[in-house]
Amino acid sequence: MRPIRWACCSWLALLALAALAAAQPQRPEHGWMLVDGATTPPPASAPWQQVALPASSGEAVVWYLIDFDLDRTADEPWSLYLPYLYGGGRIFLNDEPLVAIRESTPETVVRWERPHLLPIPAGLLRPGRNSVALRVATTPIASIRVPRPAVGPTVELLVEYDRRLFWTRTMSQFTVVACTVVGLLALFIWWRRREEALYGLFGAASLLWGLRTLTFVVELLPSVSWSAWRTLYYAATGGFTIAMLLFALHLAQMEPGRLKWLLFGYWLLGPLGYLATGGNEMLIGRFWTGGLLPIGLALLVITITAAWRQRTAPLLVLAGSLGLAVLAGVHDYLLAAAPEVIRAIAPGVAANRLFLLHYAADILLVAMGAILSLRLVGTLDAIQQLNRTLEGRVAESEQTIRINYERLRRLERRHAASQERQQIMRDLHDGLGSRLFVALSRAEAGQISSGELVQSLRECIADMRLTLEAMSPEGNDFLEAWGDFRFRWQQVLDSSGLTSQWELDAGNGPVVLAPHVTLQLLRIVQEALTNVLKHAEAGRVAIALHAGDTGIRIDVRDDGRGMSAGGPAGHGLANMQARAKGVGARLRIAENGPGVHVCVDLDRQRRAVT
Amino acid sequence: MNIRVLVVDDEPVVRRRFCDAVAAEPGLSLVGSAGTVAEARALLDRVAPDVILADLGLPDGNGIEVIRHATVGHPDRDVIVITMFGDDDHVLDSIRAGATGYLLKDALPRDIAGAIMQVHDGGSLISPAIARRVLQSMQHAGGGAPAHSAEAEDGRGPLLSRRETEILRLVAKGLSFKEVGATLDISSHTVITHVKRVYQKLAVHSRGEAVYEANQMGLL
Repeated sequence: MRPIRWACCSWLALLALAALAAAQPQRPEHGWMLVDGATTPPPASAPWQQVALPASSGEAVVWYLIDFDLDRTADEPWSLYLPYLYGGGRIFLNDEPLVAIRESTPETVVRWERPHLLPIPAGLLRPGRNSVALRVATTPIASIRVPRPAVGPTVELLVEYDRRLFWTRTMSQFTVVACTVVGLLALFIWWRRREEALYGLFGAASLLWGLRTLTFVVELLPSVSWSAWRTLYYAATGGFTIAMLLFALHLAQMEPGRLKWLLFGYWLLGPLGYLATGGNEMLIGRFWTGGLLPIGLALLVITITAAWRQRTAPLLVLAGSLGLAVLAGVHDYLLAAAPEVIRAIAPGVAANRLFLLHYAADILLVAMGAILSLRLVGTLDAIQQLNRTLEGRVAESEQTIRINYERLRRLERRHAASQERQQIMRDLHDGLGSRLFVALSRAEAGQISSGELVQSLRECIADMRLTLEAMSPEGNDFLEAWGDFRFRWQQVLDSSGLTSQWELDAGNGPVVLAPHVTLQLLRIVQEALTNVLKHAEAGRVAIALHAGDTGIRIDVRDDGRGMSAGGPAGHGLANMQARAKGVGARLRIAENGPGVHVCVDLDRQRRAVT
Repeated sequence: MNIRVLVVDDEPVVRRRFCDAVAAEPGLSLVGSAGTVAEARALLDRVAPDVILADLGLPDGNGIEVIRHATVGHPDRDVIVITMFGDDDHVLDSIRAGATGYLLKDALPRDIAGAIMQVHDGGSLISPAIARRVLQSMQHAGGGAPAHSAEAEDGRGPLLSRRETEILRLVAKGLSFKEVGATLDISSHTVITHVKRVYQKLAVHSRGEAVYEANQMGLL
């Protein structure tokens, strides 16, 4: 175990030493320039002028000569690293052609955003002085810019190269894809919900920024498309700025009003002006783009003020990221339009020539996305809360409705019971009451014999029994009342010497009828039976009850002498008819040859409807 | 030997009616009449009647007391309760107290005599309303189970037999004893004997319940 660890440690230590010993990349701070259109490096005797690196020039074709000294030639592979070379060019090392990076031609426009790492073939470097010659040309779109190169071991420079490649290329590609996806998503949400203007603005800003970034991702373009491409670039840049401003205004709950149209106008001015001036990069790139800066600053001020006043997290986040974006925008503008200002303040930053707005805008978009996500979450929470509240209210309402319904039903029942009571009371009043009064009056007037009085009182008692029978059944079962009625009348008929035959045709369940209906039905049958007893001189009587779901039918048949031979008085029959009509039943009284057939029919379904 | 009858009713006219009806019947002997619970008790101990006609609403107490007093120790003695309509709750209470029949207040003299002789002969009158009440009370005793399977709580077996329950059901529909007998293919005499047994069972059962309750209360 221990020897192995020792070995490992020794190996690591050796590696560290080797790394220390390895040559650091050379980064010459000065070079020589020569305005010359030659295709091979001009001789050293030519009038080279010393320049500081990085350098720029407005000449058509310029040669740069950059020297560096080596103690010894290295064994490992070496490379030449150029952080940028936007227009391409030809590079020579010690007068030998090293590489030709593609340049713009009349057919193709080139704009390299990527850095260049150029491997140096073995044997090309020599101890002592080495020189790199660069031939670069001005293109219609950009003047000459030469970075400070680095020469050193490929391993060392690869890290630097990769880092810059990531930030200038990979990041842009990623931004294009992400902005497009997110932008379309947000626009889709806005399309379905127009009132969510923030999503629309965010989607527009995101898409526009994706488009703008795309113009940096595409490094080679046919010349014919160039003008359209740049127009797109300006339109996207301006649109993004305006969309941002509107987003911030909306978030700050400020109404842009007429200002909105002014902003739209200014936005259009960029791309249209570019087309109108035939692609004047100077005019549009410097002045129109410069005009976007105050808009950005205004945007920043509005947001910071609103954030200060409202102290909401979204506004604070937006203010922070906008601040970064504006700083980045100023930096980029200065880097493009007045690099010396940046160089004076931060030479290291200037030398890197990294346009920071790309990243600041990404941060800004992420912040906007986060704000919208938070809003969405908040909205969903609110909806959930609302739903809960509504559910509670619905349950409450249901409870109230149920209680009201039950109260109503109770009232209805009470009303029905009260109606029922009134019917029975009226019946007692008109029936039993009036009979008793008649008997009383006649007794007082001495117009009634003892036998008649007894008869009359017995009838009253019978009527009272009938009323009690009709009212006593639990659950208003007609069959119970019928049982009592039948029992009582059978005894009456038996003691009168009449043979009675009772037939019952009913199911097992109760036959529910309102007590006053039961009372009237029983009273009709009682009257019929009384008539048989009093007038018919019959030997037998048959009483049949048919009770079904549809109705009740009661038949009373006797074998007496019939109605024509001094049967029941017309008054009694009319009374029976009136009772039947009162409860919606049909009464038929017919000669049965011999005897009388009384049939009462109650359609329960019809009753239920009425 | 004549059936010895005691009449208990506080209404003199009504009492007279019943007394007359008893006196008029050759097979019956009126051994006394009372208008209060106290009188009735005193007479009961003295005259040893076979059948007692008892009204419930007495000025110094409830006729139920008279019924209890009459039947305790005299299982062969019959009490007929006098009722206005034959359907009130008191009839059931009377039966539980030991009554084995009822008579309507407006019953005709021959019906009165007939009822007394019928009860003494081992039969009892029952109305559909009473039959329903008995069935219902059995259902309550059986915890809602159908009457014919109602079991006494102490496991003495079904209180009413299947036949008895059947009879009560038919009576409740208003069928006469004759019709009940015809339906069940038994004589109407058997029907009224069944009814009397039902009454006796009810009385015994309620006495059992009373003992059970007294036990529970620590009185016995």
